[in-house]
Amino acid sequence: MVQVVGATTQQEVWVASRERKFIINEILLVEDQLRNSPRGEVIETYSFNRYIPLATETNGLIDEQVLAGLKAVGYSVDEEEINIAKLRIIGEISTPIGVGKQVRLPDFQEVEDLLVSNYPDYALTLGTIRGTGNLLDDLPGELSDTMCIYEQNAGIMPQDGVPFIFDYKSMNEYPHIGIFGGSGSGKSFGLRVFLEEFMKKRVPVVVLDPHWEMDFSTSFKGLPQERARDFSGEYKLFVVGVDVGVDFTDLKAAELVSLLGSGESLSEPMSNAVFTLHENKDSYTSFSSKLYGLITVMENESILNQDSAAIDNPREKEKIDYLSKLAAKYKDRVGHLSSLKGIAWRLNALEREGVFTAGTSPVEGAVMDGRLSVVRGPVKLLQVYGAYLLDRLYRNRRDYQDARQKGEPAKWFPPFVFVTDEAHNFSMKGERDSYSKRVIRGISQEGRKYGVILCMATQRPALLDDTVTAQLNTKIIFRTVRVTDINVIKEETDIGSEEARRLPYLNSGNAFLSSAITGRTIPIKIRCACTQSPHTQNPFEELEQVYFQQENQFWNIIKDKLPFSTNALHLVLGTISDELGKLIDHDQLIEQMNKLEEDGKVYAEKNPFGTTFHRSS
Amino acid sequence: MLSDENLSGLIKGVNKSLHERTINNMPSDLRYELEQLIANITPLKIISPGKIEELSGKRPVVAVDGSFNMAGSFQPYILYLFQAYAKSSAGDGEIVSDIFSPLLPEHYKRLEKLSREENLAGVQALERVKNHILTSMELQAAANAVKKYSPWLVLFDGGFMRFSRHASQEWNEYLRLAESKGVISAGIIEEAESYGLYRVLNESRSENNTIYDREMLFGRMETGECLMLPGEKQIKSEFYTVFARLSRYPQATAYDFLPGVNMETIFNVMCFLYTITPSGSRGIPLILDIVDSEVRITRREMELLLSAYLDTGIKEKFFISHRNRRDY
Ligand SMILES: Nc1ncnc2c1ncn2[C@@H]1O[C@H](COP(=O)(O)OP(=O)(O)O)[C@@H](O)[C@H]1O
Ligand SMILES: [Mg+2]
Repeated sequence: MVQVVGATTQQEVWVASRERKFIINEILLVEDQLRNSPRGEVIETYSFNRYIPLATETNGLIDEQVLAGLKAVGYSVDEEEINIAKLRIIGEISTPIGVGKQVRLPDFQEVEDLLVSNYPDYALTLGTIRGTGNLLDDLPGELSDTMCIYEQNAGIMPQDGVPFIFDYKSMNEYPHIGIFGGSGSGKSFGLRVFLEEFMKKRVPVVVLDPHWEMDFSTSFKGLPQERARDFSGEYKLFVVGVDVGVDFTDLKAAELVSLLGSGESLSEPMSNAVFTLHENKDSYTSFSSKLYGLITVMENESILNQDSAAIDNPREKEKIDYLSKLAAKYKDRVGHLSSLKGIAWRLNALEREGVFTAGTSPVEGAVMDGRLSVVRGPVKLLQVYGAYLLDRLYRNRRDYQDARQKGEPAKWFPPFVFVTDEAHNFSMKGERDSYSKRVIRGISQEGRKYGVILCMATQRPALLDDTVTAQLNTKIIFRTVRVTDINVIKEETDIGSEEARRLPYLNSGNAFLSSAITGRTIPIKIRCACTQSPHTQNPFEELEQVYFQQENQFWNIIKDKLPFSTNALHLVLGTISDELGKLIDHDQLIEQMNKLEEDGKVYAEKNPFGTTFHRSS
Repeated sequence: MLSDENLSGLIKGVNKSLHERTINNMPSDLRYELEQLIANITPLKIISPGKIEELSGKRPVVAVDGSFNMAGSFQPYILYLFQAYAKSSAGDGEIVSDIFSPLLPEHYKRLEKLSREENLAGVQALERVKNHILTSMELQAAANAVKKYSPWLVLFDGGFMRFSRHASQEWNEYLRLAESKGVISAGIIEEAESYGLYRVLNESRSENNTIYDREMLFGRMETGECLMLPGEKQIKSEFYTVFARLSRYPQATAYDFLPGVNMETIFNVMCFLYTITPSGSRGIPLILDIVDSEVRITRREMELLLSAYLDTGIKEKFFISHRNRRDY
């Protein structure tokens, strides 16, 4: 029997039961006809033996003999457990619920409206709603057996509750997603599930992948055959500087400044110089000729003092003419030689990374095709390149929409989703106005009009630009430990203090979803992904493996040379080095032998002439 | 809070005075007698589950306690809530509950009658009625449990004097029932004010600074020791009272038994009570602490009950005193 035993506020009551343990986040129904039998979510649970504390004013334990003595007359104090839960009533009620009201588990039909707003065929199946395990048997066919769950210690498990199905089409009204959580809390895993679902629905997505983990070619280890899915052809991997890059001719001066500043921001004089030198439709060659030309002139002013008419070589003559014109046009406006050299150095670095060899068209093609583009590269470059890419794609879409509005013919460019981890680097709170920040801010405010959706993951929500945070209509919050981050989450979402208190303790993959789309905050567990990152070897296991192999190799070489004595090492050193393929000296060999002795593989016999190593039997 | 030096000075004075009042300041012959008495102290034993089953004949133990709460603050705007609970170690237990309010006509008549017949002031009459209701309910719960569970032992929270004084008729009925069922009854008196140990020791004395049992026994007994007065030194004629220190807490507790129970049985019951008292507790057998906490209605629960079942207007009009409306 479960009963209401007290009320804290109109919206919250305490319920208690002797027999039943409450499950966090489960939904219970209060039998209160007057108030239309309201439903509530369990937001805090306690189980305690209310009598143990009675005896423990001074020490923490009830003496063994007390329990045994009471048991002898038929009374098991240790079974006197009481389960208590705080129930938050969902929806408004006008008067408080009365003490003593019965509480029970609802049928699926009685809570369906709270839990299910869509079906897997039409929306994203992201995971399960926590605390809904006891509704499993009631679920209609479309909602049962839709996914697997992954438990770190138990492995792959069947669906453990009502599916959480994210109505992504509502992002038309409430755009943008934030994914917050500390390191290891399940952000990448969650992103992977999101991306898989978007692929299934053929939504074009561009994801920046600084960690090189978003590959979908490897099936999740141990996933049953029928759950596996082949995503080949549905996503494309691009590396910045190899497959994709910058169309230099399309660059605006400001974009170029940002690109050049990808490692370290350009100094004021440097960026002034870029603005002076760069002209629309400059190609890489035309821009770099200007740059190097000016450097030549400024390094050696006398070069212009030659009388060009006196030069015979027509190419040389042409060069001098070009330099003179260049000098006349820019020399007084570009600043110091050192600024130009700095620009040249950076431009060169980008060029060497291949940034200017390819354009954005491969990604544009994939977006047009409704595919997922995974864009990889060095972190810093990816950040700047990502902003550039996003800006371009966004412009394509905007141009199309704006033209269509005006009734002008335009080439179709689809709406799309842009995803990135480490989003705070893109759009840092308080920092001066960076290129990426401008782009992200703009889309966060205007993207809805054009169907361009951001999905920003970060482990430091406190560092994310407030303007952007405020525009994220759906926030998925994984385990968060830092107080500053928790405070931002409390301010920016409608999660309650009970949930906030649980944030530091969430298991990886568990999260609270606070969204204008769902209305109330929903506790979810992200499903098991269909695929996994191909390189998930634990680095420490890797170390162990390498060392183990090395030791094994040494042992195999040494074992049939035993026994040998330390005073005759020179006899074996040569062959051992040969067989190892690397030079090993006297001390190293003894060190290795001592290690083998510790492992029990050899034993050392000390004698007046040194030590003799024998093979242990 | 105001902090006045005068007040702290007065408290220091109390401290000094109480120091002077210790046992050591007793007249020497009284001390001698106390020491004689202490010679009667016997150690109790922790007994095994097997031994307990043998003593109890596998019958359960029942623990009885009552509680009352009051809403409102002065007559007749008062509502008493009573609960009595007899918990069996073998099952649930028996609950009896009742209310009393001078605002209800028949309750008012009862008060008035008592006032008239016994020539009591209103407050005294109310106190009487309250005591009667509470004690008779406890006895009722105990009797129900005796009938239902046939226990070996019934433990009351409180001494027997309360029952014989406030509900003598019900008490006698209970005694008959207990006797017929062969049930042992014991009353545990935690707040040992005075059982007249002092008087027993020194009947001829007439000094006016009485020394209470509480002081006499404080720190005099080791954990697990029990003081059973020899037959001729009975304190109350009606009951037989035993003192024991059942935990590390230095204050001894008193236990009332009915006359006619033999010494060996009392000793065995005391051993059982010692066994089921946590050594780190206040010295009360655990099962009694449990009933106490179960039967008690906290202020908060009381509030909730009233809010749930009284209309707000009624509650405000009759039972909320101005004092409670203050914000501090
Ligand atoms: N939904 C989930 N179900 C089960 N385990 C998960 C889930 N999400 C994450 N994990 C576990 O936690 C680990 C870290 O998750 P990850 O997504 O890499 O964290 P983050 O990106 O937040 O640092 C994963 O390797 C996996 O073992
Ligand atoms: Mg990650």
